[in-house]
Amino acid sequence: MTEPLRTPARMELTWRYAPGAPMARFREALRAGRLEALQCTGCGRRHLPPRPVCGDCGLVLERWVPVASTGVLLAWSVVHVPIVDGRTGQPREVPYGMGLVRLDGADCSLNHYLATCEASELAVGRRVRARWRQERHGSMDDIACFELEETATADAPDPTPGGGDPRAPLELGLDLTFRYAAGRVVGRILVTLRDEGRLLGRRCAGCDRVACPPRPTCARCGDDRGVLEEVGPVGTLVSWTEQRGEALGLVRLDGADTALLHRLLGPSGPPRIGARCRARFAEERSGTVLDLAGFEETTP
Amino acid sequence: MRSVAIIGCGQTRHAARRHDVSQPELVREAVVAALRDAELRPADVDAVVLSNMEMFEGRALPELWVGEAAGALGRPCMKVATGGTSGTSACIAGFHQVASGLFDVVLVVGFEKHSEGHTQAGMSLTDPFWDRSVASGALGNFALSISEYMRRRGVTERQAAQVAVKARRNAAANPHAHLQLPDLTVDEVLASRMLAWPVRLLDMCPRSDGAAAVVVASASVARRRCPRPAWVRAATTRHDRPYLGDHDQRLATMRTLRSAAAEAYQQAGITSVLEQVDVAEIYEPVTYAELAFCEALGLCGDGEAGALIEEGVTAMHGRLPVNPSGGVLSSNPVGASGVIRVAEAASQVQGRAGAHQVDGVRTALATGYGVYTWSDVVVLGESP
Repeated sequence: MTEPLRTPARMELTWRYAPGAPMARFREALRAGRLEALQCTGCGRRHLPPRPVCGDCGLVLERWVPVASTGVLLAWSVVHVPIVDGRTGQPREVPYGMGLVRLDGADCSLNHYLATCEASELAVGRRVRARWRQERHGSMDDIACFELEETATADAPDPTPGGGDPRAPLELGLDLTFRYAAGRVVGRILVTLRDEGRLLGRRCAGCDRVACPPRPTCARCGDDRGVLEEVGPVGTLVSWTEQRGEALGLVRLDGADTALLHRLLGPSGPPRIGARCRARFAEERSGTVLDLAGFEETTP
Repeated sequence: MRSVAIIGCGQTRHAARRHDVSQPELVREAVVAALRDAELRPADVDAVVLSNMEMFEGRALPELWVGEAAGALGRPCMKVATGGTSGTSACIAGFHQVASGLFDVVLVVGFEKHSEGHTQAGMSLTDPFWDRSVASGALGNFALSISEYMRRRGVTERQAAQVAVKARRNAAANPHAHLQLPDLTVDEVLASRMLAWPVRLLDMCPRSDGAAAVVVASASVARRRCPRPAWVRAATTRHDRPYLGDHDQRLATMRTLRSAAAEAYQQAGITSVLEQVDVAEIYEPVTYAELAFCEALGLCGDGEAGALIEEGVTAMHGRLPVNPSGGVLSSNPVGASGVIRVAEAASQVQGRAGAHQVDGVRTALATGYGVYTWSDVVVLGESP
């Protein structure tokens, strides 16, 4: 049995997150080396992180109260698995200590790094203190970690605000590679395309429709049974568009009842709906849909 | 509200990597099995509810690409997503659609193909301002809660290891299960690699490729088509505050699960879980969670879960077997895992669970767990 075909894809993703008014104010305090919580005027709960509404009371949160940089360790762990950092997509260095810290003056706790990853030094109930960075930009990372209070060495933060606009969107991204199993039906079609330079469609045993691109279940009647048969390589242009200088077309290959989306090649003016096109196959083929380079209009 | 029953269940073979099938083919495997189990044709289905996660498949709108394989063409079709609870929530949505009288037959399908996505990256995309810089996935979340839970309730690493052994030995009798370890011992669990203190490799669920489907039917269809339907006696769901630090003792208190269970037990007339429930399929992504959830569900008092596992109460031949299928600890295609819990509970009531069937099941419990912020409880029984 041959190895099942898997198609790779790389994605570079970037997002920009708007902080909203409560988080913008919180970031401003972080830059100055301070922590603040939002207190509910109904239940009195001091919320961290800042959020617009108290979930318990449904009241809008507007009263800011100061929170200390010290607190008590409610829970801890030492992580030995290189978990992916959601800010970069890269695995973190291990081991590292992490804890839930109930800051003095808040009713929620903060999940953050601990200065030590020695399990013997860690225990629920121990007092801890934030180690602030000297360079601060209005992110949670302005606190490097929490250290045990009795052995803490960090100085109090210089209250001069650091750089960055606390109201500006936060930009984060990931660079990821995926591999998708083509499966029984699409896998066979891609292997045929790669090895033989032929296009296959799938004739449904239920309704006789030939689908290209083919799928394991008939999109019209839901039948699973079907036979693969050659379609094209010539077809008819059903529709087209142009995107960033590249023409894309829907081509119904001869012998198929559905249209395939692919590139339109060649210099021959704007494509004409109804034009006859021929598949051009790539010289080097690797088992992806790009083994079909695209379609070019046949000379009349 | 009309009575509702489950009349068919189907699952794939769950595995670390199902490179032999594409995502639609994986879904189709479970759907065909469920329809065959219910002896229904695809045309008998009125609507489809799907369950799965984003990022875990590495594609946008995964539901878009598997709808036709799930038999949704020309039919109402929607997705439900509530983290790990997605599958149980999708089942509950299906129950509501039938109970309301909207539809007579609803197919609920959960699926996940972790091998093609980035589960860890997906789990790390938490709140960008507050905790993304420290978020350490499901593992880190659990590890933190567990240190609190152990201290509060006196649970030991050895007791947790016994849960790991029970799950993987049970899984050995379940042909669908991913991790089948019939000879696993407590010492092997305790010797396995430390992932995040105190969670070891064999304390944690695997990442699986898999799909599961259940056929939900109205009382009239169920009575006509199925000799022994699994009737829905209760179905409840709860949401809570989102951040890890929003609650102390999150695992020990599990207020979503306690609240959902209290309402479900009231709906189903359950006053003593040990007396009245015959089998439970509990969503336990980590060994310690099963112990905490047994307490929250009232299988024992708070602080008694360690004794519960030591005394074998929840073992395959104990008084109330928990996870005869091997549970999430043995198979975890996340979007399917909740559907699997409900399917396993239904199969137990129907007497069709095969080699891991518990004798004389009249009432079965299934739960869902979603990042501490959701809990679902479903009670199934032999009568409406």
